[in-house]
Amino acid sequence: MFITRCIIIVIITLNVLRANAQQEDTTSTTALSILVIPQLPNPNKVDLILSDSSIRLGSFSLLDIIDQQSALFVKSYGVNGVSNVNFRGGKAEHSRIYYKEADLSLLNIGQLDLSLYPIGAGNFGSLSYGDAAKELGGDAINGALSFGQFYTRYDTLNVMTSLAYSSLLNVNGLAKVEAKLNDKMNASAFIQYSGGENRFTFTNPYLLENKLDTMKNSTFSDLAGGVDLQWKQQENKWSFSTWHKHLFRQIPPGNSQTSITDESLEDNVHFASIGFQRDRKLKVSYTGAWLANNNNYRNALVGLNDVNSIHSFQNILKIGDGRRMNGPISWTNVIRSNYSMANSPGLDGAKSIHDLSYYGRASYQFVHKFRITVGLRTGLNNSELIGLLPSASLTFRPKLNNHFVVMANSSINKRYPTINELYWSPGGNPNLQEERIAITELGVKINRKLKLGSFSSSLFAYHNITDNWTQWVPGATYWSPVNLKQVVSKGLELDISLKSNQFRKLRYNLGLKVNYNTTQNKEVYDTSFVEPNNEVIYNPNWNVNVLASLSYKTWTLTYHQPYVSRYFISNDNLYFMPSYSTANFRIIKSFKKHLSDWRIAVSIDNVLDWQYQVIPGRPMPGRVFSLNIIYNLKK
Amino acid sequence: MRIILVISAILALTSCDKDMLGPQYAGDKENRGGKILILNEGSFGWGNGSISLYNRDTKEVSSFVYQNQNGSSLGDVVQSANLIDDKLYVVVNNSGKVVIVDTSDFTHQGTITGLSSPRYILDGSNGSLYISDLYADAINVVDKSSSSISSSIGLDGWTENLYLYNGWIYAIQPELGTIVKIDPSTNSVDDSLKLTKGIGEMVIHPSGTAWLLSSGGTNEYLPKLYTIDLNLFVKQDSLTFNLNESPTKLCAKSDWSELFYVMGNTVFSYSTLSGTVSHLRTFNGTTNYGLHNDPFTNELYYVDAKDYVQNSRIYRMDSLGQVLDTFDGGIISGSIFFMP
Repeated sequence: MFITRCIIIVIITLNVLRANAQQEDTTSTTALSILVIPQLPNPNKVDLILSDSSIRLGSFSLLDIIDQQSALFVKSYGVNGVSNVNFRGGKAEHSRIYYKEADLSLLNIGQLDLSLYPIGAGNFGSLSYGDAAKELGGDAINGALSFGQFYTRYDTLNVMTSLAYSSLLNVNGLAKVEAKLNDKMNASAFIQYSGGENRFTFTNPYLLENKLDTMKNSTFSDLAGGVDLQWKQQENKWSFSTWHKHLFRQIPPGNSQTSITDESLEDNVHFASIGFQRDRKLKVSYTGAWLANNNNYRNALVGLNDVNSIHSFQNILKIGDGRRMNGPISWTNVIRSNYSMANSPGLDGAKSIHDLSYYGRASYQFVHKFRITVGLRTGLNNSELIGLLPSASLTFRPKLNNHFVVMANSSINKRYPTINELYWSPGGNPNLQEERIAITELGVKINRKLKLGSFSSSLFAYHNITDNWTQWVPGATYWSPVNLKQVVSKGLELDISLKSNQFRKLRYNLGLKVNYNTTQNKEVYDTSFVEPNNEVIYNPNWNVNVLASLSYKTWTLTYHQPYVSRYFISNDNLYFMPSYSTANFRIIKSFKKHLSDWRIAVSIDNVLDWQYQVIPGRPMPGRVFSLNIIYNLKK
Repeated sequence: MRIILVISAILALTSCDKDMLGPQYAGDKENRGGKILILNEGSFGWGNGSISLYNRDTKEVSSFVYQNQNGSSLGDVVQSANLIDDKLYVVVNNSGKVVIVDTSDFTHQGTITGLSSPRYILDGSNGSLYISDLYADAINVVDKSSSSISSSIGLDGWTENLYLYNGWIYAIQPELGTIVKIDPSTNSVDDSLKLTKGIGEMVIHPSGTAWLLSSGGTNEYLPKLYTIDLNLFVKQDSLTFNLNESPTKLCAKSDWSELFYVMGNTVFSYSTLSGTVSHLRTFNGTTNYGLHNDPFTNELYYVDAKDYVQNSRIYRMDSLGQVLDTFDGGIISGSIFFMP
């Protein structure tokens, strides 16, 4: 899926730069007399993820993440961490989820909540760390996850179904059809269901005698469906997409609130977008999107419902999109506008926010060694200027054909409170201030072809200073956001993978990801309330993932061992949650029959039956068995 | 081979926490405060007020520690206590006295007598002790060195909790719903602030911001959580409750980020950072008689007085509502005192 962008330089031409400028980006070489010089990458960390491939987000494929996210608990922090997707010590709320350029996270209740996104709506995604997220035009200050729908060029019909059943009594099903209707039109439709009841035993340390307790009273059901259309008229491309998702969850009582068993949460999420793209020398694209969420939380304690209704209207215009403008200069311009409205019974009338932002970036490449990029973001937030937010970066490759690249960048960005952070009822904080972040990143990438296979590695170091950091503070039943005056986050990210060549029908992959981060509140508004120099809550210092897979003929065995270190849960750093590590195994049998691919997977998650909690009082399941059948017809 | 080493290293890293489940205390466990004294009122008129001793580490309870040491009961209705000059001054309401106790061995050190119906005692940091009273229409001023009443400050009606902030004494008058500001240098009333009937415990932040709950009487006024600026001596409403609700037993976390209170038999937390309220835990079938925050560990102690005849049941929980221990106090465990 990765399209390697190359710049072709005709070396017999004396005027190297001029020749360079006349070539379009391409993926192929055309003559023996040319030398291919890969275009230097942006100095940012961006990962690509696919729904059904081995390319993974952290340790999980897109399918894994969303499947597992949707199964357990309301607003669960999901697998492999205390937040669904958190970047570099930032909380999930410092990140964004985009679908077809539209910002879905505006509808969330603070966390980067993947449960509101239906997996069937897209089939690929990318993960942008730090400053790279600014490229999407938004104000994700620590990173962003963006999804989209990519149609394979040669398939006329692609039918995908997956059915999963686990020992938690959960069933997940997805059916999706992608079709090439004619030379000009592609279409897809999906329907997905996830439901069941969380029922498993866990250790309850607070019981005096029989410490085994049973999780119960937490049924859930998610139902989603949607369609996507793309059609082409010469160099113009149009698209239309819409989906709806309904979620219902009973909140499990947990082991701290044994008297409350009748709390539940219901979300109705609607999405619709139209898109236009003109793919000429000047590449232009526009997306207009509407999204809405009606959320109903039944608070059994007071016998009342907390109802929230939020709408968002967004426009995104992109010009350039990394194309070369003049000579070796490439450019990107993104204009993004958003109008969001909250109208909830708990509010004193309807509330709204609106913003308009511009992001521009230009890159200049010096032959093959250097690439310099400068960027600027500015705009209006609720009619007030957000100021000029610059960025500058450098990519350096010491030698041609050397797979060693050094990258560095520094930038400033701002993130304004979202509509739900301000007005979610209850818990929203209308006095929340905007966050301002200064990012510095330095990274090294090394890729090598070995006898055995291919080796790739990267090491990134970063240092972020965030003023007015938004910190969601947990209560017993819901969280509320407040500002911390200044938070400093720094860390290292090491990523190593080894992919072997096939040897006697045997192949193996090994991967190691080590993230170290420390995020501390250096300055606080009132030292009497929160002590400075304390670690922010729910931030593990270490996040390690070991991945290994072994394939023989049509059989594959995968092993995944995540490790999440201790993290504090109180601002005074007096209480912490213990570290945990769950070993997960999966055996996959793949086979083809005529035009169809079959995959049957048996998974055992948490093999060692590790008893742990991610959020206090919310036990996570022990050993879980699941069966997953994936059928894919390609015609 | 290398990958096996890495996996082994991870397993070694993680194995240390495998036996831990749920929130863990990260502070210095050797310095989590001293003794925890449970002050038991005893049955009214029976003269069986007592002190129990609870060890938060071993979870052991010792009952009647004063009686066992001195051979006599503290008196009738042990109301409150305060640590003054390393001695515990125990206010015994229905006996009209304050008993002075050595905290190391609980031996009797002296008695302040001549009081009508004492409720709370405060060290004025000026050589005098101040004792509020249910019926005396006054706050009694006691000479600390002689333990004898030296004067009184006339006030209308019942005075309850006493606080010292920035050199001023603040007295709570539940019936009148007022806070009276007293100048200890002249022992005279300087100012008063009118709130509503049923005000009770006040927690004071070092900056001078204080929070105070008013139950509103018995369905007479809307119950409220007030925020008071003691420097300016002005109030504002932070929370207003429904008429049929009755919030009581206010206490604060040591970092002041949360306040806790009880309505019925449910404990709630109030975030001073965001102004939001959360349900912490409900103790079904209990009779709420107190909620106390351990300032050294930020653990909460909820008191169930049962039928006021049996020994109270005390629930110790963390600030997230998870019960860490349950144990029995004495009859009507009205106060819990956390020794440094």
